[in-house]
Amino acid sequence: MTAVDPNFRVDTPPAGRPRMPRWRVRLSTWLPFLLPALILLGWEAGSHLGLISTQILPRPSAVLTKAWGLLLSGELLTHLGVSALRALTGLAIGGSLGFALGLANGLSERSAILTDTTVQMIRNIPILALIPLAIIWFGVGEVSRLFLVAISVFFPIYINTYHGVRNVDPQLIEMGRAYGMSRRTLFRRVSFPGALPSIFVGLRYALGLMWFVLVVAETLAAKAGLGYMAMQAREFMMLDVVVLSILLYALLGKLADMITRALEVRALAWNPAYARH
Amino acid sequence: MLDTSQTGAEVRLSGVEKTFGTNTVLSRLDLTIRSGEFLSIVGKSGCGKSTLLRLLTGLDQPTRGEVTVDGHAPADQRGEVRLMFQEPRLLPWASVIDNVAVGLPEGGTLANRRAQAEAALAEVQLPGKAQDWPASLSGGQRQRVALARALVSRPRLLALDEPLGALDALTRLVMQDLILQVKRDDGFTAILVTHDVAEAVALSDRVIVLDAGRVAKEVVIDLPHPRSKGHPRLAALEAEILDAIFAKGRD
Ligand SMILES: Nc1ncnc2c1ncn2[C@@H]1O[C@H](COP(=O)(O)OP(=O)(O)O)[C@@H](O)[C@H]1O
Ligand SMILES: [Mg+2]
Repeated sequence: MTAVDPNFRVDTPPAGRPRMPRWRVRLSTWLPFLLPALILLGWEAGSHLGLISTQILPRPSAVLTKAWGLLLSGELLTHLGVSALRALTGLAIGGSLGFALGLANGLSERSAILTDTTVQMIRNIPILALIPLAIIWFGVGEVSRLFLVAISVFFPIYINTYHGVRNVDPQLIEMGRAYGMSRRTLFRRVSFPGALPSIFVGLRYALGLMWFVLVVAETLAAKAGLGYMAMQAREFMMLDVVVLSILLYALLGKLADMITRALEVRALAWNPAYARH
Repeated sequence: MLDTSQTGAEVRLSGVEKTFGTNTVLSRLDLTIRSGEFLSIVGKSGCGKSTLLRLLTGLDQPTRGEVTVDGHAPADQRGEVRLMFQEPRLLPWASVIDNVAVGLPEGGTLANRRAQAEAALAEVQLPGKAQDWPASLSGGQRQRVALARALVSRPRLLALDEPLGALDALTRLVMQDLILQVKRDDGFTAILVTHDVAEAVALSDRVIVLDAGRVAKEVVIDLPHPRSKGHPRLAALEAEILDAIFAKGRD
């Protein structure tokens, strides 16, 4: 599952890597944003030159002005907050269930035999196919949306936790036993840290799915949220708001990814593959 | 530093048999290892050396017969029996000092555990590496950390399963000296499994050849330390042991 071998052997110390000069650090921080900036500039220019019709795509400056207006009216933050809360609640519910079952199945053969096949079967159902079922079960409300988000993040976190725990170097487990570690200690000091790189892979995958499902769930039937904002805007042909909400989804996704990455760098500092460059 | 006769454990195997399914790996093995003795076990790959060490350290139970360390079952000895593997088996996510502390029985104050771990690191001559990640160490340094982890609980029996097998020849010689030195200082009973007969002869008081689950030959190395590598008596004993290993292979 993970590209990281817990038993890696690297002979050069990560701390010994020569540090980049300051200007190069600054450059490598900003360079990734060069392309998006150029695209926005080109888009703006193309729009002014009449190459891109504002009926099809509003100008970035127009989107920005609209964003400012919505921000001042408080509307933007309300929708953003509702969406973020939904995403995080769904992630917390589905993620912790997937994590718990993944641990249980990774640690206990009996639990894995009992539940893994079932989970794998359910996993193959496209999540969006569950929408009608969710609506019948929970109605067109908040519970339905949370259900869809939670179930979508459940699987990647479950699978990667399960495989992470399973694939912990058996030699390390044997060492722990030989050195008298209790089951608890063995889990805390060997199995869990060994599974962590894989769990992070699952988390990042889950975050991607989370936004994806959230968009669909919010465009279906909601009274607030980014998806709702976009649907409302479509009704009134407010192209700038539609584009704005798409951009905000991209921004939120990027933000979630950056937070995970920062956590990863901290938690997996021991691993040369994750050491900060 | 310490009186050997007081700190080394005495190990007894009587009628020990170990089978995996229909595969009999050890058959009716009788062996006594004196307190403070340095015993080496050699033999062809798959002859049951690792299995024997697993029985001695309580990681596995004999199918028949009895293994005792100072009269007790080996698993009962908290921290008194330690096993060192061919691979360092360090926790990659723990610093060097925390890896050494893995060898301490649970409990005790943090400061105390730290002090004991520091002392063990000093003993294996690895200064200034306490806070490093294992990934930043060389193979030899990692095996030193593994040795410190095995020594930190002051075991009375140390079993070593080809601990130097993965190291380059030069590092291996340095590590052999280190093992002899900590053995002399701490006075534990040492049981070394090795595929290097020269290593067995250079380090131990007695060498046994394991074959088909039994002790095929036993050679006492009655030379004082330090032993010079080129000593003709060592060469003769080495040849005798090699003969024993291969003679059995022909019939
Ligand atoms: N857990 C096990 N299950 C089944 N067979 C085993 C097990 N451990 C060891 N064996 C068998 O016992 C024999 C001796 O293995 P081992 O003690 O590792 O040999 P050595 O260390 O001398 O190379 C081998 O044939 C091996 O296949
Ligand atoms: Mg072996």
